[in-house]
Amino acid sequence: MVNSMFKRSLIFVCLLIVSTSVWAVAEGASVNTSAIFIFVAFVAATLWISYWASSQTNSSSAFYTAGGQISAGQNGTAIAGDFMSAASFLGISGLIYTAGFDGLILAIGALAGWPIMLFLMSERVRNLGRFTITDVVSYRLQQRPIRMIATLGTISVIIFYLIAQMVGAGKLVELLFGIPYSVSVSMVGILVIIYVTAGGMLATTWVQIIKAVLLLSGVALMCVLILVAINFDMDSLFAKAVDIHPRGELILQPGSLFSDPIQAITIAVSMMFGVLGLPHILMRLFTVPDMQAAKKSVFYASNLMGLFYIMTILIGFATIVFVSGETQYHADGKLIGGSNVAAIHLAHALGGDLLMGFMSAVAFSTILAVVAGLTVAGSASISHDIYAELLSKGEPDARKEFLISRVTVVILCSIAVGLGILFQNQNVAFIAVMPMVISASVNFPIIILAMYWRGFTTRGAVVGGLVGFVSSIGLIVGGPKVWVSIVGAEVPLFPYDYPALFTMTAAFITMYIFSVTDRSAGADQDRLKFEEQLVAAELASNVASASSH
Amino acid sequence: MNSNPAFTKLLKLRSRVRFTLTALLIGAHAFFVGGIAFYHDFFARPMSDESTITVGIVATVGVIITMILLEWVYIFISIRWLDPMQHKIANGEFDV
Repeated sequence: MVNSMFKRSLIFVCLLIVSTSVWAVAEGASVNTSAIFIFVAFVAATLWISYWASSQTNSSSAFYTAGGQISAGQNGTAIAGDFMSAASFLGISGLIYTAGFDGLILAIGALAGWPIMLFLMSERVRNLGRFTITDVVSYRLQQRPIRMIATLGTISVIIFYLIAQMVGAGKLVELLFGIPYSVSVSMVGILVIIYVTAGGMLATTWVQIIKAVLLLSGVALMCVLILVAINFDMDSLFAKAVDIHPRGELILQPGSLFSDPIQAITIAVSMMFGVLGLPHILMRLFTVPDMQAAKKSVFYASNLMGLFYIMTILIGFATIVFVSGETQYHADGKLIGGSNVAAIHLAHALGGDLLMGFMSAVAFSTILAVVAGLTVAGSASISHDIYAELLSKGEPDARKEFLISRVTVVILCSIAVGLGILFQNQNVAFIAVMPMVISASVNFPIIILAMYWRGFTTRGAVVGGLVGFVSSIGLIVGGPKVWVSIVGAEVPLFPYDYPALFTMTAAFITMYIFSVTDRSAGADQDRLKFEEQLVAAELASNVASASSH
Repeated sequence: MNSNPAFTKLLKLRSRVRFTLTALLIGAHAFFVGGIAFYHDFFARPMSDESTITVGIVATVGVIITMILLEWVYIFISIRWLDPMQHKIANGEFDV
């Protein structure tokens, strides 16, 4: 049944892609043929993988976690592929292009979460969970309430993350391929529905691996070309950047974005701890056989990402040198497409249409990989956490769970496409902030305290999680990105874009107070079961291996 | 199991490694954020008289490398000492 459905949708997508490319060429849009060619090759390869993966995806554990049979090297590459979004490559290089040094805070902040994930989380999370982070936190806390609050954190992070990706995708594809916004957003949605419903986590993993390899090789190639162009003289690159940029020497110095120290600190906190609660990233830890492999996957992923961010910094400063002085990339004195595509213009400056086409296709494939990862995590949260564990009390009907997991994929992608189109002309900068802040203020405190603090109780988790959730949304809405940019007020109610320094602290304090004052019988149980959990977390004993479900 | 001295020892060693490295990581990150928030003059200084590259740029690359090196340390210690110890305890060998 799945296969015939698959073949029909395959034909549909091929027709869609071919017809949109023909349409774009006929309209005379600025279409880059190498971009189209590379993108079609990527789509063909990933569809073939989904077809292959569909024959392996025959149980819920295969759908959620590829049966726990991914190797550490593969998973490490896939994690890097899941996290290195188009936003981080294009956004960070664009921020360096405009602001110089201060743009680096996003690169360092995003990277800083990973070592902590390795040290404190990778091993215990893998040992305590089966499919989702909700499994981890409900190991010793009371199933019903803790699953509800953890699912709230998971789903809201995924929805906001999805919308941000979709809007970014629509804008990018419209610009690079000349395909209309709503068509490109729908194309992302349809492709991801096919990958995930057919091939589940296995197909998603391979889409992410291919994307990571493409992105890293593209970025590495750009760096080599930059180094050749400057005769391997780094000093001359920075000297030229200072000469060309209107801000001069200031671009190599901190201070252009942040005058207020708290602003810098709260961004760093939001990025760093936001990474540690992302459900689609943590879910990847369950795709490997054991805690040793989980640990190694985070390690491999971090090495790839460290390299990636160092190269992004070089690319960011190179855009100033090779792009900002060139009239062909400007119209009316402004960079065509805005600073977010500065790196794509740089690809053109370094390697002509071919390299630009390659990087454009890579940027698009990047979005597909991230959206696929988010969709699997969202689907697992609804069909496993809500249907199988909450409603069926751990004894789900396998057929129903199969159906629900696939239907959720379609619903999630449709919501993302719909909201993506709805927010097309809105200022959505706040939507990119939302998932990181909620993740840092709801998911991260609950996971870390459930694993490390004996005194943590269900009441503390639920009340603290709610405080984190409500304060995150409240402070973002009252902050500059909504209250000033969208509502139109003169001054924001709350001065900082990224409020996690405050919201996460509030969540931790509430969790502490509501746990230590909890004298209920349930709380005694929560604390008592910590010992048992500790043994399972450290020795990987008495935990059902993910592959044996 | 919780009264098993070998398990307690593993737990203690692991916590020590995990929290020491976490503290070092946060220190490295704080050093970078401090360069933006508090001592920008230091970060703005050129590396040498002939160079335009600032202390901040070099510090940023240094912080990234430090973060990755801390991970190498954790993986090395785990594979060399902690994981074999865990394996023995899980197999019922209490004397490690």
